Amino acid sequence: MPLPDVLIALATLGTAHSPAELPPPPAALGELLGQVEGPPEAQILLLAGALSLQEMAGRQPAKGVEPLPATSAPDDRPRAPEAAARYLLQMLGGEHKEVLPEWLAAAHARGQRPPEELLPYLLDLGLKRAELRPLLFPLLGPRAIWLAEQAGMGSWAYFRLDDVESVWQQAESPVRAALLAHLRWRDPARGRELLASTWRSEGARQREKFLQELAQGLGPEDEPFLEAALDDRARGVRLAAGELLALIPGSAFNRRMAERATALLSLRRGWRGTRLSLNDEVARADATWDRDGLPVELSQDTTLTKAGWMLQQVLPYVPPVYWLRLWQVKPDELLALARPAPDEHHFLNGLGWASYRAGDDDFALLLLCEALPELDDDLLRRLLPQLPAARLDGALLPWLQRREVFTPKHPAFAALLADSQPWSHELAAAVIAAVSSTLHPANINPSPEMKSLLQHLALHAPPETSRGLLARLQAQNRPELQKGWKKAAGEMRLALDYRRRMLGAFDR
Amino acid sequence: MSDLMPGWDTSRIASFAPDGAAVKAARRLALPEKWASLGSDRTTAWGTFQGSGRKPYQVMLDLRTVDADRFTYRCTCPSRKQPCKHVLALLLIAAEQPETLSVKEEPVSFVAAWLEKQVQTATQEPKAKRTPSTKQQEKSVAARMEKIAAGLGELEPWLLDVVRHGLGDARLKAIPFWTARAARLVDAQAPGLATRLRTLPIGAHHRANHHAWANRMLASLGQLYLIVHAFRQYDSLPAPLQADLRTALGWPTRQEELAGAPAVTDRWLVLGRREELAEERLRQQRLWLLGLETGRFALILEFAFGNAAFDTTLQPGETVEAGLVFYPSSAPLRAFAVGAGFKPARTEPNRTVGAGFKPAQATSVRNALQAYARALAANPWLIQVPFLLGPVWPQRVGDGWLVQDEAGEALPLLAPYYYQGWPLLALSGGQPLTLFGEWNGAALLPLTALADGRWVDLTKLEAH
Repeated sequence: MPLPDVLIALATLGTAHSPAELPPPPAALGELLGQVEGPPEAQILLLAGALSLQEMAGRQPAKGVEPLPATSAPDDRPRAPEAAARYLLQMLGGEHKEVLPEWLAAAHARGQRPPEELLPYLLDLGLKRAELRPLLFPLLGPRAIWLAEQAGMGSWAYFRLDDVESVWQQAESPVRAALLAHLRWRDPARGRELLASTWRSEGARQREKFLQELAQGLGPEDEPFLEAALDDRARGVRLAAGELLALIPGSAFNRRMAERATALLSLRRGWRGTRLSLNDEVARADATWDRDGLPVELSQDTTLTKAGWMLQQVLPYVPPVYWLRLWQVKPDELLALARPAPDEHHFLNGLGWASYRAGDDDFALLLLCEALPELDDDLLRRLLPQLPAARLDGALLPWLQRREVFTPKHPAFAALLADSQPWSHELAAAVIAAVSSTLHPANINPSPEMKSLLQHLALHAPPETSRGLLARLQAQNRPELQKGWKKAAGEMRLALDYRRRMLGAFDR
Repeated sequence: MSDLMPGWDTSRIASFAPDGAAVKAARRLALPEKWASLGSDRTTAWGTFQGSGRKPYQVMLDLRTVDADRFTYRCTCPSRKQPCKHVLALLLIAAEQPETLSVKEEPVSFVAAWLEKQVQTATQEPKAKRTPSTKQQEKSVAARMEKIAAGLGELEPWLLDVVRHGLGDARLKAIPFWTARAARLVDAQAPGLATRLRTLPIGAHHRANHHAWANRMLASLGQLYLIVHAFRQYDSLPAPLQADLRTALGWPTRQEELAGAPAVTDRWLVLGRREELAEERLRQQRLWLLGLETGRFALILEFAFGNAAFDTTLQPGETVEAGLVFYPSSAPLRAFAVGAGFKPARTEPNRTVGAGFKPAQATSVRNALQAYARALAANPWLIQVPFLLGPVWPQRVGDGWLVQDEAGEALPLLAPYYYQGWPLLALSGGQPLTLFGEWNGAALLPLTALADGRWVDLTKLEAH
């Protein structure tokens, strides 16, 4: 609403400080003002008021922008139902946000697309929360690509497909990492080629970070690039490359690891039975160790022998099936061989990491059944998400059914916290039974660990999970148990209820 | 979903609650095992709940009234919030887990007694409402006129002083300089002017660009002064304009004064809603409607204190059969519903208009601006008017957004409320859409988009 400059200048200065000379008003207004008596201030205000109203009433359309944007490609998937969309909006706003991954998975499982108006928020999420990308990328459809392309070089550029090279060269580092993840999901070779195109000009930190994105869509065709990265000056880059090469079955890296381990370890069949022994005389790390990202110096705090320590470094990279073939033993026999060694803990965990890297579900499940208490938490956190859910439950259930006091030290406790796959009814019921068994007058409040377990259960158990724990609490009818436990159990119920309603909304 | 309460789901129960906190509290209680007893005889539902009191609370619902205007329920708890969390929790249980209510042939004794009492009350003669006599009314009108005249008598020299000392000086004034004056206007029973004062560009964050600021300030002060001026001639104004002036002063015609006024009956389409802080702690909801037969726009205003929830039963795209009485105005918009209440037509299988529906009233940018000019000419104190535009495309220009029509003519979208038009662009996908919003004379605040046959309430996205 532009008022005449002279009027604004006059009003800014104030009539007390300037000779009040009004600008000549437009003819019709002048006539009107002529009828108004009053001091110059009043005239200024009346003129400003009238002119601004005139301006508002006479407002002309602004000129549009040419050309209109190209239209988005169609998305054949049906839109998620409105009721389900409301839950997504709620969670994006921060309510029950821990259930958000399940919404994304549920929509994808049903072949539905997210409501368009929420795409901006989902695109934000894809940049900020890397762990959600495997769920988000398949869900975001052509409309999200189109929207990202409209937004240019901003934070959604990672989802553009129209000018990938420019985005890769110009965008901020987090956007580039997300772009690499996106391309690796869509077309792994293209992603690798893009990374290779600027590899030499990236800083060491960047090289290491970008390399980690290649875990998505990893395959044998990535081996030459990764093998070359083992010659990198930065140890972090070599480690990252080695970690990926270890995941490629039959890679030269894996063969080298197997050779090293074979030299260190041998099977002795003697009159006292068959046992493993370490070959201390060959225990010498050479330059190839450093290239493969392995430590060369014996660490100070280890109680292991040199050979034992070296084996600890390489064993996690040798697929268990290698030993089975080499020594012609069965899986349970291999475990039995690992058991009596003084380095039992390292041995079992090494085999655990090896089965994780080789994707050997059978051996991993055997380990869970036979040696769960020995396995480290970080191994469990990596291993459990990739095992088939039903068989995983089968491996964990027997541990819960043992008559053992259920505390955070219970062998299954850490595994349950690491199990972020959908739980079966049986597993959920067994956990509830185990938790309920700890209810007694001396245990008035749930420990923080127990609360975490209940929260974890609330997110992964079937949403219609029994009301067992609350029922037990009620049956106990002990006022001293009511407060802390009831609160924790009530919160669990709230989350389970929310999930049940959220999933129900998809099928309405 | 429950067969006890067909059509009732969580969101409908939530909209029935007095506020969000009550819903949250109820959700915690909506666990059957927390209740001492739960039961239903299909027409009523009841439960007993051990709260903090000595005796368990008795909670009861009359399910026969659940879809009527006067849903009857009772809880023996001392809560002042109505419905209380116990009633809401029982509603949630009845809707979501009806199987947990034990089915009885007869209601339990406390429910039976309650029903009995209700029948008695209903058969009693309603008490005659006391209506103030015409004489009393005239007296109070004259008193308020006097008070307002006194308030404006103080405001005028104050306004003139601001211009005498200059806007350069006023720009440096602390916020209380303006709000204290606004408070005086509230005391003088002219809250409409107080709001105008409070929404002036005051405070440091407005000071970046002096020329733009001075322009806006001077225009607003000028318009305020026009109201002062108009009030002097109140008696000589035509009646509709008098009503508009009273509305501008914050003294609108009361609903009771319009009893018996002719209603406009139509099938009203809900175009959009907007919630806003009207005064300190007082929130306002504007519900915009379009008569599908008459083509008239209507505005229903609701007010709520504190965190109390508004009735959000009606969603954009839904229709409601109702008679609306328009408040007197030279450009009538505000209305209230008469008769059987303002509930969506639940008998229709699909309450929303069909997927392919596009309101015929959706218009071009030029036509909308012309309609606005006509309305403003009739009522110069209009704050905002409804714009239903289509087909239009959202477009980004620099950091701002606009919507443009087929003729390539455009309107800017309001900043900062809608500084990000991304959800709107995402909805369009490059295709034209129908957009409903409020035009304030300078920019458009989008409220609802109709895209791909879907009505999307854009105000719900604001919080993110």
